[in-house]
Amino acid sequence: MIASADFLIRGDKMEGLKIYGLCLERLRHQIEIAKYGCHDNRYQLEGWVLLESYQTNKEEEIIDILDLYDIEDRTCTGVKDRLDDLALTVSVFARETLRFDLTHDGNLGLYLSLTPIKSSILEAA
Amino acid sequence: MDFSEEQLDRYSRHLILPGIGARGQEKLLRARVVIIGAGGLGCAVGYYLAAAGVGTIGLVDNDTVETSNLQRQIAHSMKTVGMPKVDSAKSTFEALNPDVVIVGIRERVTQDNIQELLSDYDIVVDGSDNFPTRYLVNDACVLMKKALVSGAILGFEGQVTTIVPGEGHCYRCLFEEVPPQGIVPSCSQAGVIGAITGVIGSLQAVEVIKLIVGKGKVLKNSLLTYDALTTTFRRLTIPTNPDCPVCNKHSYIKELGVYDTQYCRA
Repeated sequence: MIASADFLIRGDKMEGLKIYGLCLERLRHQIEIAKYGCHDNRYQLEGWVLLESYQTNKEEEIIDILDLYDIEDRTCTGVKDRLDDLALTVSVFARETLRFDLTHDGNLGLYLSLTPIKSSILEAA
Repeated sequence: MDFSEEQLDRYSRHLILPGIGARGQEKLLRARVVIIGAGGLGCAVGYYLAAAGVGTIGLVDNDTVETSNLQRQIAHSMKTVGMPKVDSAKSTFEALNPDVVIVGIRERVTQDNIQELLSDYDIVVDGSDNFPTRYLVNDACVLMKKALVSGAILGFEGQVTTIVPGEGHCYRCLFEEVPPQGIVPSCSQAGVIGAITGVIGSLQAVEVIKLIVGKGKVLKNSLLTYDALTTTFRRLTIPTNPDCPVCNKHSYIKELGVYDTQYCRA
């Protein structure tokens, strides 16, 4: 399986681009590597592959690591909502399905879906 | 919702912006905003809302483009002089962003048609140029519980406020009754710096975008004034008037009455 052509074509435009603390260029390489080379079950979770772990599950540390400094609700729910929004936005750029979830160790991780997603382009509402 | 390649490019500065992102852009693309007046303020607000990808923009205006409008009404041009303003602005905004549906409504807003005109929209922008229309739009929005972003300009000054019914002041809390005819001059009588429409219209557009994406604090219970001569912005606190005739619990305006919208024109 290879990385999304759309994502690779757009690579040059994404150089240095960050959404909160997530660098899209780094993410692009992580996705390529994950799709080409990940056969290690330790990093997989029911069709999802772990791209990176943040080695913590504490809200304040997650806010620092991912630069979520504008967040007003710093509770677990507030951080989770912001992570859901962030995952959606990077999924849109990557043309992949990404999500934040807990790793086997109980820390926050960023996961990529290994299930091929539709590539159709929908019109705006 | 998936974004096309063109949309990813077009909205990339929104998508990477904390607080908007993909979810905020989706909200913008699904939003419905109506602008009362396709004059100086309406052109500026409409331009930025169309650029931002606000999905459906209603434009209400009954006038035609005149050469004297072109000093400040940036959606019109020499080519559209004589054309209805709503058609002129519609073609400009659609050329800027084909994602956006522009609904041109060539009507003068009256107490008889305003509720129907506003009913299809989530947010109302007042860019009208006369007091009776301003009060009519305020009263309709309060009665219909629609958010209203109101702007006004004259000379070297402008002001903007955001009214969210049930959550703060309304225009009548600020100025209870329509001023008598002739007390306040119009732009055609007193003149206006064209770029002021850009300043105030842009502020209105930002207020609308904040309302749509649910980010930040809008100008509820506040009036922001701008004095171009001293380059001064002032934010005035506007308390809700407990005796307001329209937004108070014991208000006596329960339906739209007679508003003389004929006496003042663009």
